[in-house]
Amino acid sequence: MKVVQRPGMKGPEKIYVVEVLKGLWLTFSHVFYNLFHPEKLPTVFFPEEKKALPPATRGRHRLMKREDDSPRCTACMLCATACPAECIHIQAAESPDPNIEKFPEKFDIDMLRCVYCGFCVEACPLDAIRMDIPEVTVAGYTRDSLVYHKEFLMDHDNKDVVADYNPPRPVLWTHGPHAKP
Amino acid sequence: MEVPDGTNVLEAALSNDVPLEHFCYHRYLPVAGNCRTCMVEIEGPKGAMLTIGCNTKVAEGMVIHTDTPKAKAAQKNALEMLLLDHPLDCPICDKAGECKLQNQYMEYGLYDFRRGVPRYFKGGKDEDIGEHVILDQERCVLCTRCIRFVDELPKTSELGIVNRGHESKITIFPGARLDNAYSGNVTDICPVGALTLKEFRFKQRVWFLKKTESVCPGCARGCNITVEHNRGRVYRFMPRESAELNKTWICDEGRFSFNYYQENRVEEVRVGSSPKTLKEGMEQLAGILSGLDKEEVAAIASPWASLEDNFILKKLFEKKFNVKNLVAPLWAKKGDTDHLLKLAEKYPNEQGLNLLGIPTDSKDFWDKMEKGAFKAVIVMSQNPFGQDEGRARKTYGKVKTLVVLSAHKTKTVEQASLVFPARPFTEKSGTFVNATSRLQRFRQAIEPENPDIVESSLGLCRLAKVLMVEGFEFEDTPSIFNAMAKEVEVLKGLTFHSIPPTGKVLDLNPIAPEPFQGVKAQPNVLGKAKA
Ligand code: SF4
Ligand code: SF4
Ligand code: SF4
Ligand code: SF4
Ligand code: FES
Repeated sequence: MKVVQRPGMKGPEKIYVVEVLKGLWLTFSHVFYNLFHPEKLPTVFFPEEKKALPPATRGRHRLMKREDDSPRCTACMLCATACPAECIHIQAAESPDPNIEKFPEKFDIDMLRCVYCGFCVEACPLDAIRMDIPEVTVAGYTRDSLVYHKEFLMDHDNKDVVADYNPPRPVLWTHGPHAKP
Repeated sequence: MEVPDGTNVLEAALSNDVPLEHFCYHRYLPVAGNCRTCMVEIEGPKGAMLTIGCNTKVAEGMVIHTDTPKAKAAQKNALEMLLLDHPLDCPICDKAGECKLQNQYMEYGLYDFRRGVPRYFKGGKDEDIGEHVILDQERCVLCTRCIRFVDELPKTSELGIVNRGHESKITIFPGARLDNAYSGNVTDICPVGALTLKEFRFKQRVWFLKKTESVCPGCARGCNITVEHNRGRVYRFMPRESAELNKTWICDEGRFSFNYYQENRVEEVRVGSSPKTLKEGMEQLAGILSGLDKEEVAAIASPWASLEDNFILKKLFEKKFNVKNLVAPLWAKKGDTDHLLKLAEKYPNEQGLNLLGIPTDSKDFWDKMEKGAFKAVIVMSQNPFGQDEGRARKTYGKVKTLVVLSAHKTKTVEQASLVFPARPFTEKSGTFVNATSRLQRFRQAIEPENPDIVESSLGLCRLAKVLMVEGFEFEDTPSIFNAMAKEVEVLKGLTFHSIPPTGKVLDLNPIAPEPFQGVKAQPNVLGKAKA
């Protein structure tokens, strides 16, 4: 084993004030540079300004729709089963279309508990839930406002979903009402 | 392996933990042998031959192979045949998680279909065939278990198969509906998701449900059930196998009573009209009772309460008051008795009262009460006047302090001056003795949120403590049972945890006939090997 000695302080370094002044010089040089060249600032003025997130960002959830705007989700609860945070709460109901059988009457995700693991997306056999709305700052004033309901999760038409990034997913249903459009 | 005479090959395998697939075979139904998934190889004079296990009786010296390549291939082919037109959309299907077909598919499945022709869609995804049952034609594998059930047990024969070949399907006969008193059972025995219950359909996925061993308190039969619950809510009652009592069946009335136990509940301790904590309530009650003469206190025990509850109430009266003032009136309207399970007497624990020697003849008791002989009356899990408010008002009006321990809001609770919430059988452990003298144990499924809701037995123990009566230092129901077993002759030697899961017959006179009168409830010999 080799013992490495700390480099000690030498010469003028030992006079503390010199080093302090050097540091202040660096700070103030940046302050004045930025003051006179604001256009070259690397900082983003969040939240007024937002950076474009890369495709495949794992953002917040959305629920996909069928062609007729009904939820694609069939309330199988596989996402709720896979979810390690137990934050998905689904209440199923009988669908008016007997071929679809059931649909989620309620679909709540408790974002306060969600750990953004993406297991729900993996588990879904119908590609009905995705995490591609590029919002990474989920915040609110009350706990209740952070439990996202079905209506909110399905309202994504004018959100810029990350560049419609659609990696190939396995297709489980090739025919019938659950086949992908 | 040595099994009883007459056992079939499949049963011999199943009862002795040899895995063998099967669909159409059901232990308590006659053999049909139509699914062909239980193929085994049996060695004979002409070499090993394939045959179905469910319809072959074992014989002396028989050599049976269940997992040779040939047997496995035959089982697999039979399964492939069943799956030809099956939707296999398990995530949507309500049976997923307890479906025989799903399990077998996971084990043997040919994951690439070999079907060369387009799939045939039978249609009929949600045929309403009865008061409780919905049929999905596409999922049916035509095992005929449901048909055999309605033919053999309720003998109502509403179901049959029409058409031929791949078009054959299950249907109800014209004009008939699957409305017999045991119709829910067909959904349990249906090995796939073809028959589902309206009351349970889409409510919960079965893998979320926790199962607790219990006993149906719907009538004096005391069928064995499991209480299936999740997050403090009961979603269904399912029959639990008991070869000696209900086999694998229960009646619809019992099955769908699960909501009754969680609705219309007494939620808090109440003195007069003001809510109190349990401690305050008990102290007030103890204050009132200790100011009275022991002849002025009476109590009503209950055939709906467990053995433990009644035992503690009786013991309290023996030690502190007069046990002659304890009675358990049997007042409920009679239901129907039928040839299968249902009994007209709606009391799950009438025999328990007989066992403890609590009188059920209540005429003198009411006379005394109406004459105003009692100043305080404790009513436990009873509502002796039903909906008859006038009678209740008249009789209870003569009592100064009416104390009620009840899980449900009733007319008696309305008249009471002190109300203590009790737990229904799903929220406590205990024992019942059924009409055929079988001592059976039920276990606690859910824990109420409010800690003031306690079992009647433990509530009375607290009262005894406040009244400073010795001998009520119990923390839970099993210890009450164990103490009771030491005192009561017929329970000698038993402990709560040593009661077998299907109960133990006690030395008491039965008060009802055995179940399944005049039907062959046991068509197959159960073949547990002799050790
Ligand atoms: S991302 Fe993970 S934690 Fe969040 S809802 Fe999906 S499965 Fe649950
Ligand atoms: S896994 Fe998909 S289809 Fe199933 S409940 Fe979740 S979102 Fe709906
Ligand atoms: S409905 Fe179920 S029990 Fe009846 S034949 Fe079809 S699969 Fe069998
Ligand atoms: S027969 Fe009686 S004990 Fe059995 S399920 Fe029905 S009500 Fe319950
Ligand atoms: S179980 Fe033997 S043929 Fe169906």
